[in-house]
Amino acid sequence: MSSTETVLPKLLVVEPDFMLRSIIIGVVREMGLAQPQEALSVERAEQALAEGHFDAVLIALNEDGATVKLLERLRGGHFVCPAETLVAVTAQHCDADMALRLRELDVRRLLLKPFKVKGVIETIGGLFTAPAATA
Amino acid sequence: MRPAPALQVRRMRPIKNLLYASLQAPPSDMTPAHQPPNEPARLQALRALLILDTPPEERFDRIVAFAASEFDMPIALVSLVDGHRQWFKSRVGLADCETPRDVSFCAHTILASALFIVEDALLDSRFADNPLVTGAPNIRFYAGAPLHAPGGERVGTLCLLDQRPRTLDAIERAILGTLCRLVEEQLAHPVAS
Repeated sequence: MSSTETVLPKLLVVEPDFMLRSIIIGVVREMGLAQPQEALSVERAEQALAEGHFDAVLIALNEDGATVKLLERLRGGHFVCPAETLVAVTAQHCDADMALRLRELDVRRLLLKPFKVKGVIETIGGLFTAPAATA
Repeated sequence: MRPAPALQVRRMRPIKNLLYASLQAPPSDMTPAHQPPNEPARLQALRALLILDTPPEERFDRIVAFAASEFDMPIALVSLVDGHRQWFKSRVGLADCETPRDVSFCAHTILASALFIVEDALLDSRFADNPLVTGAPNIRFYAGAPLHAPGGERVGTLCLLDQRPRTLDAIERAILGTLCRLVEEQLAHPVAS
C-alpha cells in the first residue's frame, strides 16, 4: 500500500441471512466505503470484537436478547474493539422500550425490515461521515 | 429494412399468445447486437454449464426476486444468450422463457464487461422500434450486468426491466453488480450451495 492510499474504516457486518450479508459486504467493498468483515451470528461477532478493532458495527437485532447483551459488553469495554465504536442495528421489530435501550447503548441508526439494501449502504456511509445521529 | 417474416403463432393460453406474438414480431430499423468475437468459445462455455432448458431453481429465483424487490422493477431476469435465442433461467414478471436473440437487449450487454443501461428505449435508436419496446412487455428501461462463466466468457446477464424510463445511481449499480456476482457463483457451482 502506498503512503498516499486512503485507509478505509473497518466495518463488522453481523447478519444471519447469507444473501443479505453477501450483498451488503459486496457493495461496501465495491464502493470502497469500508473494509468489511462478516459474522453470521452474535457468537461470531463476539469473537471478532474480542480479537480486533472495528470503526463501525452493523448488527441484526437478535430476538433472544443476545444482540443487546453484546452491545452492553462492547460499551462496557470488554473487547479489544473500542467501546465507542459506531453501531447501527437492523431489526424485524422494535418497540418503544427496545428503541430506548438501543439509544442508551448509543446506537446511531436503527433500520427496520423490510428495508432496501440501498438504505443500508447509505446508513453505513452516513456512519462514517455524520458525527451524531438518532436511533 | 429487412422484409417482415410471417408472424408465428403457437397454441398457448390467450394472454401468453399475445406476448409470444409480440416477441416474435419482426425487427424493423432496430439494431441487433453483433456477435462477440469469441462467439464459438462463448457458446461452448455456456453449454458446458449444462444449464440451458433446465427447470427453475430456488438458488437463482431468490436472487432474481431480491433484485426485483430491491429495485422495484416489474421484470427481472437471469438471461442466458444462446446462439439464436436468449433463455431465462429465472424470471420475475415475464411469462415466456425465451425470446429471439435478434431482439434481445442482453445480446448487447454481453459485448462488454460493464453494466449496460438503456434509460429510455424510446429515445435510443438501437431500441426505439424493437418489438419488445413497441409492444408487450413494452420495455422502456433496461439495466443488464454481464454474467461470466468460470472461464471469463460472457454467457448472459442479470437484468432489470421497467415500463417507464429510469436511472440507476452509483449505489444501485454497485448492488446490481454484486447480485450479478452472486449469480455467477451459482453458475460456477452446479450443486446448490
